[in-house]
Amino acid sequence: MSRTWHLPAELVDAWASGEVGPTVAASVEQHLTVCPACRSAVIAPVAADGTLDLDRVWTRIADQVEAARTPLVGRMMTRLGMRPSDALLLGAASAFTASWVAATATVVALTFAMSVVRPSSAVAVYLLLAPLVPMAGVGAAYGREVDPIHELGVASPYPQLRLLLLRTAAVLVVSVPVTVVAGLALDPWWVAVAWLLPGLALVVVLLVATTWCPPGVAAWTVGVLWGVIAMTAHRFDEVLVLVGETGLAVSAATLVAGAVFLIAGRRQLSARLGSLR
Amino acid sequence: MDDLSSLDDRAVLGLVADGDPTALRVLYARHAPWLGVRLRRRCADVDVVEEALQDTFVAVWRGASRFRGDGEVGAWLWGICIRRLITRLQGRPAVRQVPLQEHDDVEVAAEDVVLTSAEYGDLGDAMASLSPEFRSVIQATVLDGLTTREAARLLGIPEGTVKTRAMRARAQLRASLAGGTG
Repeated sequence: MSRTWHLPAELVDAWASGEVGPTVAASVEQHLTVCPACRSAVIAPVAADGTLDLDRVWTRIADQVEAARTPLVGRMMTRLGMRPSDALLLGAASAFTASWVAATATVVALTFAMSVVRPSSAVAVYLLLAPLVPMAGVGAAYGREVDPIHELGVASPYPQLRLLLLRTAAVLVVSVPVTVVAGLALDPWWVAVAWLLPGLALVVVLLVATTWCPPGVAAWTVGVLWGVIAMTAHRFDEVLVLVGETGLAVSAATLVAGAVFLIAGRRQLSARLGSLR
Repeated sequence: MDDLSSLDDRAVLGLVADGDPTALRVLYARHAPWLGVRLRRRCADVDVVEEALQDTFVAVWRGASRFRGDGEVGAWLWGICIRRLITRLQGRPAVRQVPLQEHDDVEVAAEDVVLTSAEYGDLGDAMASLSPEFRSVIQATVLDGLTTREAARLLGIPEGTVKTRAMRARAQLRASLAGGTG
């Protein structure tokens, strides 16, 4: 492939900036097609010219290439109209799906076991654990330790809040249906649906808490808090109060207040999340 | 990246076919600049050119194994590029144009005389005497080797018009090369 003749540098520059006529351009292009040395002489003028943003194009190519390699969930989301970069992040999120699946499976197994062994406590155990599943999933979905694309996240500008909400949605889509189905085996069957409101409230509380402390710490704190509340209610044999009128009212109020806080403070939250990474 | 830089294009393309993203990055770094400029000479819209480049390398990623080992990688890539550009141009009539035709007054170094004699010699004069419409048709069909249909899509004109213009442009070139004043 060695060639003794190469394009003069001035000619390469002139061609790259579009200053030669069609006949010379055709000769230049014919030569470039077969000559690696002259092709590499084009790299610097194009970068200096800056009309073509080749780095940006590469980012898009890398996105598409990665999206083609993402797991099924990510590909399905792309087909449903999600942007490839979002699907990529979801795909990476589903790499630690294992932890949510484990948590959800624990709830399912415990609910079944309890409803057989001690039917009286089954509802209490379910109400203690079920609302924690989505919240723990969201907390786990954002930690530095569990994030396989943390480096990518640092390198690419991406709205942090958008990322967090996207992953929250992904966690909810996976964990909520399974938990609901597990709860249908319980005695007052509506418990299986009623926990959703406290569960969502816990997620919102977690998101709000993330404004002040790392997601892992926030998840533990919120989890312990909920555990204390649920145990206390159980001790007084009033566990259903959690999903009774009072419980639902408190949950709804928390949900609304938290949502308002998040929307109002979304800029601070984004900055906070950004500084975490 | 270091161990790849010593490999030639065919070897790198082989690695791309095996699913190595780093090899695709190397191939992109080597070829995207000249392909980009070459596309820019055929389409004024930078966005469309960037989209065509993007499509090309995504297509290479998916179909690197379809490269027949007997040709030039550069020529193969350009073949994909120009067709992706044509596809991208479909349905966007506003941006269809061939830019950068009116720069014949360039100062040229003395050592380039061999190459530029083509420009300022008989053929160059003859090409310069063509109207931009005729020249773009000659460039697409003769110099780029596109089919009539592809040239029509690239230039945004009907196939019949490409045929007539190519015929008339050839006649005009022949006349001016034969010593006429064009």
